[in-house]
Amino acid sequence: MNDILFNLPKCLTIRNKESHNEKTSTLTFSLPFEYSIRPGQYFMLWVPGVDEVPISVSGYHGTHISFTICDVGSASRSLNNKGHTELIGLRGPFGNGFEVEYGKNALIVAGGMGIAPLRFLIQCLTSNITSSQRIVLIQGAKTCNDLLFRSEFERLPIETNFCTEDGSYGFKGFASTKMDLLLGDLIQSDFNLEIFACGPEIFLKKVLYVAQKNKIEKNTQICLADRHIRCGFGICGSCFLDDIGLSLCRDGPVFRGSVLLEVTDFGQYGRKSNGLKYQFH
Amino acid sequence: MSDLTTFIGRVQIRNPLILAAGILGSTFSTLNRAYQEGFGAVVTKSVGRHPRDGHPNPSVVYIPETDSILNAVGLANPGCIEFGKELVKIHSDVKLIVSIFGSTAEDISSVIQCIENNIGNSKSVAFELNLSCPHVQKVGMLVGTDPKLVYDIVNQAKSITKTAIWIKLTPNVKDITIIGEAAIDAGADALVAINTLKAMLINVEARKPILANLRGGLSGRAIKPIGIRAIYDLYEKFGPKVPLIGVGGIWTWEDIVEYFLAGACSVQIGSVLSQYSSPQFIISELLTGLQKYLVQEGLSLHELRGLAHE
Ligand SMILES: Cc1cc2nc3c(=O)[nH]c(=O)nc-3n(C[C@H](O)[C@H](O)[C@H](O)COP(=O)(O)OP(=O)(O)OC[C@H]3O[C@@H](n4cnc5c(N)ncnc54)[C@H](O)[C@@H]3O)c2cc1C
Ligand SMILES: Cc1cc2nc3c(=O)[nH]c(=O)nc-3n(C[C@H](O)[C@H](O)[C@H](O)COP(=O)(O)O)c2cc1C
Ligand code: FES
Repeated sequence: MNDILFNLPKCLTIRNKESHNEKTSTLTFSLPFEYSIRPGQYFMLWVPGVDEVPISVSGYHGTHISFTICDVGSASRSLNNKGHTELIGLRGPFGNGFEVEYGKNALIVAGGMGIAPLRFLIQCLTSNITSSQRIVLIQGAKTCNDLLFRSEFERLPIETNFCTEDGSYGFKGFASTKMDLLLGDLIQSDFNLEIFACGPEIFLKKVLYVAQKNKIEKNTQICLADRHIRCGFGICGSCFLDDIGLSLCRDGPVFRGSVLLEVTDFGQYGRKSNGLKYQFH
Repeated sequence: MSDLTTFIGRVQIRNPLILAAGILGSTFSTLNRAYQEGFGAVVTKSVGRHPRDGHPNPSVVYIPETDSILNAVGLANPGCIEFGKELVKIHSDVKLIVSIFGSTAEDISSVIQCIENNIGNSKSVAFELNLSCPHVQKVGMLVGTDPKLVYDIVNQAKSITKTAIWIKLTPNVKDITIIGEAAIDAGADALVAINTLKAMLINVEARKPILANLRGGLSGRAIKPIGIRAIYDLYEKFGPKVPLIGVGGIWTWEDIVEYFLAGACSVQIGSVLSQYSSPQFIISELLTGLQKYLVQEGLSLHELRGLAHE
């Protein structure tokens, strides 16, 4: 618990708010001082009187920390509707985060809101990029409107590949399909490649399948988000993965592909807040 | 090496450390893992007759100044039928204790039957009855604060199962020994003390209670002296014939020794797991410390029990 900045919710006001589309916005807060936070880590965001939910850090610079939130229910809606004077509680940072090796070639695969933690990762990687290093992004979303941060990514020294399910922008199809098409070539030219992925678990299962097919699952880091979080520090038992019994909240949310191959529920079942299993679809 | 084999009445376990209820134990995977990593036995999350979603978040927060945890998970559980299916997947060597809650004697007995129908009557070594559920007839009161109700619950539970019945006592009463006595008179096989203490935290900036449920239960280091006193009082009343399991704020091997001196024959640990990335580290730290102490003092665990009363 020593590396947690706020064990109890610290209430802050929103410094800046940027709307991406009707359902999604990025909220920025100012921390009281600089703190070490890794991409892939998350905070519990508390809307007093509503709920407290896990949200990945989508950007961090100096003391400015950002979260990108998609409206799917009461807490996320209320976060998106908050004005500048209202207080939001921050508890965290929680979780392990990605292992970042600077200078290594990176393939980043995002499905939908999975771009949130990966955007912070991209910020870190590009701020230390070397001249020979390749950073390839494959970002998928339902429509062009849902390709968050697209224009920001287009300005960065990375190779972008956008995919939409309806074909309204870029490749028509899933990011995992695009990954399947690109990975063979990337591996041939770059032996030293690390894959980073985040998105819905069904999608991540496809990503892992492609990685495994190319024998690169050990170098694939996957960030999960489909488990119910209560404590965030591995004590309450609400977020564990069967059968290996690792917690998403503390042992994760980032796991190596080789570990996820042993998670029997991966991409198939989640658990509700009461512990009941449900099937992903 | 001192032998750490522990007896809680008829129940024999390989060491005195038991995983406390509601910590990790919501799934077969975590219970298997916790046992594999060295616990003498593991207690499940409390299960009831019907599924419950529990309270919204914040429902579990850590208080750094006192190394404590405030929680109001609200007895979230999938109901005994589904939980029974979960428990079937627990490895056969695991010493399993199923924690059960309910508002009436019928409630609790029906959950015991439901679990035994699913897992048979030999898989769990004991049922631990968590009596901190609200009393349905007497609103605002907890089941475990009414000695007559406790007697009825234990009496009925004993009549339907051969498995040991342990009673987990709430510290939120005037005299814990009165409830303990009711349980023992009705045939309880062991007493477990203590559950969490009623507590609340208010966020100063938001001027609102932090827990969504407003009120919750406190565990961790802050409550150890209260747990020690509960065990001391119970041992003073019943002597060595009643097995007592000490819970509350155990952080170091010295804390375990303290519980034994007060009269416990075994202990449960919960909140301290928040300090370690994996249970195996704290378990080996506690057992190594305990072993060393026993060798140095030339005592067995059994001989240590209740020494503070002499
Ligand atoms: C580690 C992690 C990182 C996440 N990062 C982001 C992010 O950067 N941006 C983003 O928009 N979303 C993120 N999510 C998902 C986000 O937490 C849920 O969308 C949010 O909790 C929905 O809450 P709600 O009250 O709006 O919706 P509800 O109506 O309460 O629930 C809708 C769905 O959200 C999920 N959910 C609700 N409560 C929780 C909870 N306590 N823990 C986990 N899931 C829950 C459930 O699947 C539920 O079915 C992340 C989840 C996790 C576990
Ligand atoms: C998050 C959490 C959930 C708990 N859930 C239960 C439960 O379901 N049933 C129960 O009898 N006790 C429950 N407890 C209480 C513990 O079993 C234990 O009695 C208490 O935490 C004191 O021990 P500790 O200080 O070592 O944590 C819970 C405690 C915590 C922190
Ligand atoms: S959310 Fe409590 S253990 Fe993961």
